[in-house]
Amino acid sequence: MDLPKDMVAASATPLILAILNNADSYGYDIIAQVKGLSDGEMQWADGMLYPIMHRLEKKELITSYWGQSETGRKRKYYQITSIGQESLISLTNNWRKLNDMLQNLVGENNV
Amino acid sequence: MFDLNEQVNQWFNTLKNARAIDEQNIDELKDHLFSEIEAQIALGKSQEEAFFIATALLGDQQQLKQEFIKNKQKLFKLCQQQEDASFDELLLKQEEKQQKGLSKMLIGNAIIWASAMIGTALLVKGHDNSQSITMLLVALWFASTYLFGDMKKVAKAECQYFRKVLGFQKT
Repeated sequence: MDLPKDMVAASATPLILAILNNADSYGYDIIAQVKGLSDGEMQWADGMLYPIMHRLEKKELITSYWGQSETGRKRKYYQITSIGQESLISLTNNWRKLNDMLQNLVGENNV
Repeated sequence: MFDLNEQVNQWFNTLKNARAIDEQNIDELKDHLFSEIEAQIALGKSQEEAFFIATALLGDQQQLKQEFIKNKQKLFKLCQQQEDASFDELLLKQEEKQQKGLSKMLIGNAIIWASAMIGTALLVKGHDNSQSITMLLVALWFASTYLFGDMKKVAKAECQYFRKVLGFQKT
């Protein structure tokens, strides 16, 4: 799966929101989950995630709090907000619609 | 001997100087880097190897800085696009210009009041109230000088405020 840059950017928000909708998490774990879900095919440049997280926080789709790692290090956790949950629903619907459109146009035989 | 903490701190030193990345961002990125290093060591890598893999995965510092800048306000971006130092220089020059302009106005103000006083003194010469009129003019001159002095202070404070907001206060 070799996703172009703009598709990676567009899919980042719903993926992050969906992960946080399952449970609170932190940057490293979110990246690990994405890698795992895509069987290692979707690779984000790790550092790029954080500015995205901060933008989502600014838009109040997620909030953050400081906790600790198992080894006692300061760790920033993220939590989805109700606005974030609403956004996740509409984003997921959009992706589904787009996917349906493509499937209908191309036809399952050709894909 | 490879000192992991020392290496990590050094790696972050270049980011610390970037105004777009604050202390909390650094803490968050540090946690990320150490998490990756721990994962690599668990896979059997040495500390040194783990460090190089983890920093490579995190991304190049310059690129990281650019991504963080994207989150900032327009004015901040504008400044970052200029060389930081040259923008600060521009601000300082502007301050100097403002102060010089105000100094000139102060002198002009003094000249106007002086001529007003001389003129009035000549006009009211011999009049009973001539002394009180002159005294009144002197008082007014002081008041206007005081106001100009205040304007200079305000202008200076304004410039300092901008420098502080843009993070130039360190120099």
